[in-house]
Amino acid sequence: MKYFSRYPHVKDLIIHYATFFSEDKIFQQQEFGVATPQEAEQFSLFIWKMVDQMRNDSETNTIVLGSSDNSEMLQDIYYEISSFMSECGFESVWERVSEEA
Amino acid sequence: MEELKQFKCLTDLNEVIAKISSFKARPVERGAHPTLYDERSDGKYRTVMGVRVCDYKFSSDFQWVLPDEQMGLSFSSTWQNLKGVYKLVSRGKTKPVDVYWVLSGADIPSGMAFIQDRKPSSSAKGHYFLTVTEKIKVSTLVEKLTLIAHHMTVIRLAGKIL
Repeated sequence: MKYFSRYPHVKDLIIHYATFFSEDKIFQQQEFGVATPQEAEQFSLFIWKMVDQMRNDSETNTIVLGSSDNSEMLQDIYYEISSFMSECGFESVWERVSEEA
Repeated sequence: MEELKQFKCLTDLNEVIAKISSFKARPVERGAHPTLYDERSDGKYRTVMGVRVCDYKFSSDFQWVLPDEQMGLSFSSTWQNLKGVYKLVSRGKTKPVDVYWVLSGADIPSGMAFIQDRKPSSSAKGHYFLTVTEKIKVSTLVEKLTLIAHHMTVIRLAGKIL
């Protein structure tokens, strides 16, 4: 696995929420990377949407990946997404989208 | 450093981080332990005595923690890094999130050290791992992490400040 090797559970979260939101492109992108600024922006926006949904799931005690609270993964998400975007060459896009989120 | 430890003012936090190179901070959910986690018996981020197995390198029997310069609890050393991780963590948490900080050096017990993330990214420049520098029992790591927690200062934030 090229990406998300440090905290692989982040990959599990991304796949879960890509399924939840029917974001088909995310499946390919999390595996092979993002190739354009547009894809990087869309991926970054998806991550923030995922974080919002994680909070919503915690508040409603919705079980995700066997737990009603996966918030301990949040710092790992920041680490892995920053690394992912940097490796794809679009860290500045991630930073801009995060600033605006 | 006494006057530094009395800092509780949020608007000065940026200046503190900029001036003090030994400043290391991490966001922590209110009520949670600053360096140890609740026990989780299974999953990829299960814990052993409050230490996540994904954070440190363990022996195969999970009795020992092995030295690794790029594994350990994550801390921010720059405003930019702290701001970024804090925003994401507080967005996803249902409880308020505070910032705990410590000064590397005198407040860190022997056998542990802050080592900078070596990834070639801008976010890595402000990211440090709280590593173990020698093979130790997990129980010993827990003692050291507990000691570090006692030396940490908390800044209770309103979320939007950062």
